[in-house]
Order: sequence, then structure tokens, then C-alpha cells
Amino acid sequence: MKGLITKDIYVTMSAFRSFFVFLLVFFVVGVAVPGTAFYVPYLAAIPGSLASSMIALEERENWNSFAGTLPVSRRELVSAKYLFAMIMVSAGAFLATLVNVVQALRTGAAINVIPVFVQCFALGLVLPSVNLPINYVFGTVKTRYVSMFLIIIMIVLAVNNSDSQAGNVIAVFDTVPFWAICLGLAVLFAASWLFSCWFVERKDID
Amino acid sequence: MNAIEFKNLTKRYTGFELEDITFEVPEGCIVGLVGQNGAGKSTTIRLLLGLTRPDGGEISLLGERDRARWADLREEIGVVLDTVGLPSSLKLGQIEKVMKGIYRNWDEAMFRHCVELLRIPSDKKFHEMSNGTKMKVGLAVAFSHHPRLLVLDEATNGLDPVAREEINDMLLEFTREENHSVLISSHIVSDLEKICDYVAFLHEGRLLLCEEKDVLAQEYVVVQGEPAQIAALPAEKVLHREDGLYGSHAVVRREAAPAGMHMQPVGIEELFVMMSKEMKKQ
Repeated sequence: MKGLITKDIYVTMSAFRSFFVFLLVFFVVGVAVPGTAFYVPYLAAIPGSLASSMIALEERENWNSFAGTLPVSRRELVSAKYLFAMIMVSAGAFLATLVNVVQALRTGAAINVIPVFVQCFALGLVLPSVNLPINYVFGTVKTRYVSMFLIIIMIVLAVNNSDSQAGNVIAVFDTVPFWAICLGLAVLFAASWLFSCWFVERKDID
Repeated sequence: MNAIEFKNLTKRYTGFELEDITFEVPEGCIVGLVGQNGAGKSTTIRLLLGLTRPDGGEISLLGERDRARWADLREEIGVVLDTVGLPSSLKLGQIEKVMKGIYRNWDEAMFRHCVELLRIPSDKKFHEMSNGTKMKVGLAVAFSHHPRLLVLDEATNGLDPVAREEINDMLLEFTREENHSVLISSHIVSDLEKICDYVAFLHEGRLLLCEEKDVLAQEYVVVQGEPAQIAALPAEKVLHREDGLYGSHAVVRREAAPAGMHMQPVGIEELFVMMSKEMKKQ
């Protein structure tokens, strides 16, 4: 498992450099420009898409066949990808929280570091929760359409909520109890992981 | 003990069927899997590695028939596939760190030795390397965790003759250990002829024969003569015959070769080509 995560991190650093540029731009804009709370979801959502991009790259490089010959189970191969998604989303949620803190300091709103981090983290996990099983079942091409659709929905939600105070990233978080949203997204992520493991364990590797 | 046993192995795809494959790879031996493109070599290897599920039959891998336990067993298997499959954006040092995190028995000194021996550049990313060098990296990885079994699928294709010779030497050195075995598929039959103890011929999903290389060389000969002489040979003993402008020749079982007829030993490559041609005729 350690080697698989190491591989994903190395590949991210070398093959997905533009991803860091995007994150940096969003972070700088979020910190420097007042009233840009709607940028915050990007910082959590973009890293959430990396696991799917990684699967697409692996498909192109025939990594899957090679990985199937390594002393790791199919379940571990899938789990490594979900763990990688969590690590990337954590990093994005950390940056989002930082932006949020700066925005809150600027507007004088209350600073809620942990709730904001958890919200962003949970939000960032939506994309891999939905995309990864679709990726495993249908391949990478169809998954791209689903990703685009989800990102558009997130943007619409965020823009509709751009007037809200810093700390309330998406309006839905105002209406549903905080713990319920986190629990719901945790269940979604766990269900997604279990399904992907179940499917990949039964699938022939191309 | 056999390192690998295939028993009545069957796999069906649309337009292709691997049919009732039965053969073994004994410990301490190199077995060459020979066949044309689409013969079923890669399918056989993918079934062995658990990448694909068989529709019938069974496989014993290092004495274990239960596929669920193969993940741990792969610690003892070194694999190089025709596409290698390592991440293209990584450099050699990064690939080593990844593998070190995957294999419990990873041996850094062994990896460095292989890298030196095969003259692999360490400053290039994997995608910047030539196909031959990529294969060498795959081989270095396969050797560096002290496997008992090596499975190589067209792994020496794309390498220059000198590099192929070096790898052949490495394989021969590897099988000096009694419990080390190699299953290697290749188009370059002349290489297999040099190193293999057994040869398995696959043709359109069927195993034509699996025999000790030396036995094949003893059992079959090429005979040359007038078309009438060749035609008179007992049909059941003739593997394949060809008529040319200046006479005919055929691969026959040695006992069927009449005294006085011009005879010469048959090479594995010639045998393979003749058998394939005969199968096409049928």
C-alpha cells in the first residue's frame, strides 16, 4: 500500500504539475481578492478529481496490468486510490480553510476552522465517491462527462451562495445539520469504496 | 515439484478460444512459450498471473491452486509484460522507491547491480527511454526482489542482440538455483533455443506440443529428397512437407527417416515454422 501511495504522489508531482498551478491561482485569488468565498469549493473539488485523472493515466500507461502482477490484492489497489483521494482532498481542504480564515478576518466574521475544514473535506470527497466507481465500471472516458456535470453543479451551488458569509460554503450546509451532512458524505464515500472493491475483485484486468 | 501447472485451461473471447491447455513448468527449468501473434501466449500468461479468470481448468502457481492466495505469492514472482507498465513520468530512483514500498524482499544492492549490468540511465524519465531500455528497467525490477519464478511476456523483444545475450545469461544464472524457474514467451525463437529446457508450441489457442528441447532435437529431423521420395514417407510421421523447384523437404520423426536420404538436425525455429504451416494447411 505504501508503495502505491508513493507512486501516486510522485506521478502527481511530475505528471500533474498544472494541477498545482491551478490550486495556487485559486488560493492566491481567494486570499488576495475580497468577496471571493465562492472560490473555496474549487480548492476542495479540484484535488478530488485527481484520483480519476490518475486512473485515466494508468489506463493509458498499462499500469493496471503491471499492478495486477504485484504482491497486493485488488482490494488494496482500490483502497490505495481512495486513500490517495483523501490525502489530496485533505490538502485542498486545508488551503480552502486558510482562504476562509483570511476572508473571515477581513470581513470580521467568526472563524470556524474545524467546521470549515470538515465541510470542505466532505465536499471534496463527493467527486471521487461518485467518479471512482464509475471509472472502474465504465472506464475513464464516460467518467469525464460525469465529472464535468458534478463540477458544474458545484459551481452553480457556490455562485448562488456567493453572498453568504465566509464559513458557509454552500447553502445546503445552512439547512441540514452539520453532523448529518458529514455522516451522509462519509457513508457515500465508504459505500463507494466498498462497491469499487467488490467490482474490481470480480473484473478481468485489461 | 512444478513451479507452474496448467490443467485443461480454457478461456473464451469473441473470436478466440484458448482450448484445453495442459503443461507444466518444472522447478529449475526455463520453459519457452512459442507461437505466432494471437496464438494465446499472452492470454496464457495473463491467466497465470490472475489478471484474467479462466472459463475452465485450473492453474497451480508455486504449488497453490487457490487464486485468493496468489496476491501474497506474487512476492516470489518477477514479471515483465510486453508493455512493461511502469509510470512513464518517473525516474529510475523514484521507480525504485515505489517498488521498495511494495516488495517486502526488495534488494537495493541487487537493483543497482542490474542497473549497472544492463547500463540503464538513471537520469531519464521512463517515457524518455527507448523501448529496449524500458524492458531492461522491467527486468531489473523483476530480478530485484529475489523471485523464485520469472514470467516474461515478450520481454526481450525490442532489445539489441548484445542486451538479449546479457539477459539470456542472467536467466541461465537465475535458474542455477534448483527452485528457480522461468516461463518466457517470445517471437525470437533463436533466443529461446539457446536457453530453454522445454518448449511449448501454441497455435490458435491450442497447445501443439510441450517437450524437452533436447528430446525435440532427437525426435525430429529434416529430410531432403525428390518429391516422390518425400511423398512416400508415412504420413503419420511427417510433421510438414514442402515442395520446391529443386526438390522437397520435410520434418519427420527420426525413426521414419529412410536410410540413405539426406538428413539434418531440426532447429526449434524451423520446427515451429513447419508446425505452424502444417496447422494452417489443415
